Amino acid sequence: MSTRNKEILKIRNLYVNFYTYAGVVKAINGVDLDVYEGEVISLVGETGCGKTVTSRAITRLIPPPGRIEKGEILFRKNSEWIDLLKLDENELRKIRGDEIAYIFQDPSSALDPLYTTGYQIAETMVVHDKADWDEAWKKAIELLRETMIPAPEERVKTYPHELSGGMKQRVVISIALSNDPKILIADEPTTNVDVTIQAELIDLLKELQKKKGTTIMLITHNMGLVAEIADRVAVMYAGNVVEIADIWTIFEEPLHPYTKGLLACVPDPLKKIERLEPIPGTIPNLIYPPPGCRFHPRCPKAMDICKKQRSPRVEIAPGHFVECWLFVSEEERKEAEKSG
Amino acid sequence: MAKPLIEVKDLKKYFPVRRFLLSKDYVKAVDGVTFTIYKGECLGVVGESGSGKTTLGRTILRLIEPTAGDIIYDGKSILKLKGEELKEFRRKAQMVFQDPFSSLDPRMTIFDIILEGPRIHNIDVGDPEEFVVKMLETVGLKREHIYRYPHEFSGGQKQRIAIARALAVNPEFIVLDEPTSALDVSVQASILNMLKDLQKKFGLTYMFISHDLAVVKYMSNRIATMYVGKFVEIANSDKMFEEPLHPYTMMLLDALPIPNPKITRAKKRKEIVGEPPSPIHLPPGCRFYPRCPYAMPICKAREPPLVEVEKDREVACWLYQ
Repeated sequence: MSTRNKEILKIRNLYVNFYTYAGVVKAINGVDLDVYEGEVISLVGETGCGKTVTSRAITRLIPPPGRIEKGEILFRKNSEWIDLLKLDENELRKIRGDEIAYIFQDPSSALDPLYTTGYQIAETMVVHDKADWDEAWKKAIELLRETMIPAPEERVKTYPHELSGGMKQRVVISIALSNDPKILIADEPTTNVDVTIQAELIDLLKELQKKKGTTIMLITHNMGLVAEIADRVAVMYAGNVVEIADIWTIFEEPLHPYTKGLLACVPDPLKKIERLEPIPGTIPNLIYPPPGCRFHPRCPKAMDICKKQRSPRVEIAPGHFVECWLFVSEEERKEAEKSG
Repeated sequence: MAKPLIEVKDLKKYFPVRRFLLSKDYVKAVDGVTFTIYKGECLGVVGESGSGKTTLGRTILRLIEPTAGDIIYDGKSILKLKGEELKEFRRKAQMVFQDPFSSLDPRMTIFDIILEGPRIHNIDVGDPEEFVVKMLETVGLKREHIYRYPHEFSGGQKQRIAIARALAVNPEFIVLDEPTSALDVSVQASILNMLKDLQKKFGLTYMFISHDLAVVKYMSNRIATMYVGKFVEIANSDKMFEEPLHPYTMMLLDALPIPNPKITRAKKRKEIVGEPPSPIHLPPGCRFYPRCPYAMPICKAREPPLVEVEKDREVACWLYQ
């Protein structure tokens, strides 16, 4: 599937560090990523690979001791590019929750237990001057109906504790959708729910995306979900994006050794698997990340240069990027070896 | 067929909840479950949160006393065991818990954690240090880890320690309660492979509890589907995935995302109706009928028993009776 629409978001050379007592965690190490309008892009990777940090850095939601060191986050607003990292807090707040909205992993902590669900949905619209309270309240009912909550007129008056996990997540989705965002960032939206509820939530997101054309950035570790909903996939490992490709290429012709390894250790329930193939070794400590390619200590195909230098990003086919020395031409590699 | 190791008969576990001052209700966490685990097999138990899987696992190890029913282990009811006999059962049947962060004592070294079981059971282990090193190596850890504390390990390593602790007393049967659900997929893969190897090496019998159907399929010979306190289907794991019989099993498999975009996008998913009922106020008749697309009048009136519909396959549904 080609989603060669216009870019709506460009992340350029993003670096994020966390200054902990144990040392400086180099969490995001030069991430480049384009997001196209109307697509579902999935950031995948294991715990600590930086997918959540990247997504939060987009609207500078990095809590201390984290700090965005450098980079650009370019967001296209009315055909003009603005760098979200350069905006002041007030300007940024106008975009966050309006044009870029979030759905977080844990719906119980995303909702305020002291306010009704209706109030919390309406508040988002009122704060962004989209409606007055009366109007916003009516729209909240509509939103709950859209997210398929039964009896929305009643549900706007309920408090979060009266709702099940799946229902709470629907309320969070309603809040995120209330201002018709351009980009919806869903960070592990179904990790805490059962498979049947997960299926419903994913169907819901798919449908809303089709209807409204919202760009969705889905952050997940569940390759099954990715297979189901994503148009493009960016695979992250230890703070780097190691491979970007469309959904078919990622599953059928993965190139980066980490992508291959990640796919090989996911059990496919439809296949008879005699043995899963785990990736040897463990995730590196990002206070002392390995030099060169951060994956080289676990890589079955590591070469000398991998230990010394990070590979440039190579475009193998249109839209298929991989950051690995295996796919760099020999001349270039030799050149790099000499100069490095 | 192999010999049965554990026979569970109409097991019930109700937890009281006080509603008003005097009236009392019960959460029917396990509500009449009958099944057999054979020697050397791995029985998978799947179900959604709140279906009673964990309570079932704990009850058959007698970590919780059942409300009713019986559990026969190796021909003997474990509910009547006392003193030395009970202690011996505690050695033979072990458990690995879901959360490795809270199942290891933070103030004990790995050496003490692994040796605690053999000490209590007066097992002669020879040189204790060598014994612990041997156990650590069995689960893929190293000699240098022996005097460290749990907080110095990653989640996957902690789960390996928990498995080593279970193995240290030379058990026959292990209940694995979501042993990999807190772990990343690459770590999960190596733990699952290791559990399979250990099962073969020591001739262990497993009960593998998980909400992840793909993981259960990989681990188990047979799978039981649990829905609000009851088994609704028990089948050979390949057969269950090829052709689920109970409508709830169908629903679960239908909802499962398959890590293959071609297959998963070609699949037309049926609409999922409703949510599981509260285990306090169960609907009359079949507990799945309010959500069942095939519900018939009888489903509302009478609860279907779990009966064998073909060889090695039991289903609790009026469609097959």
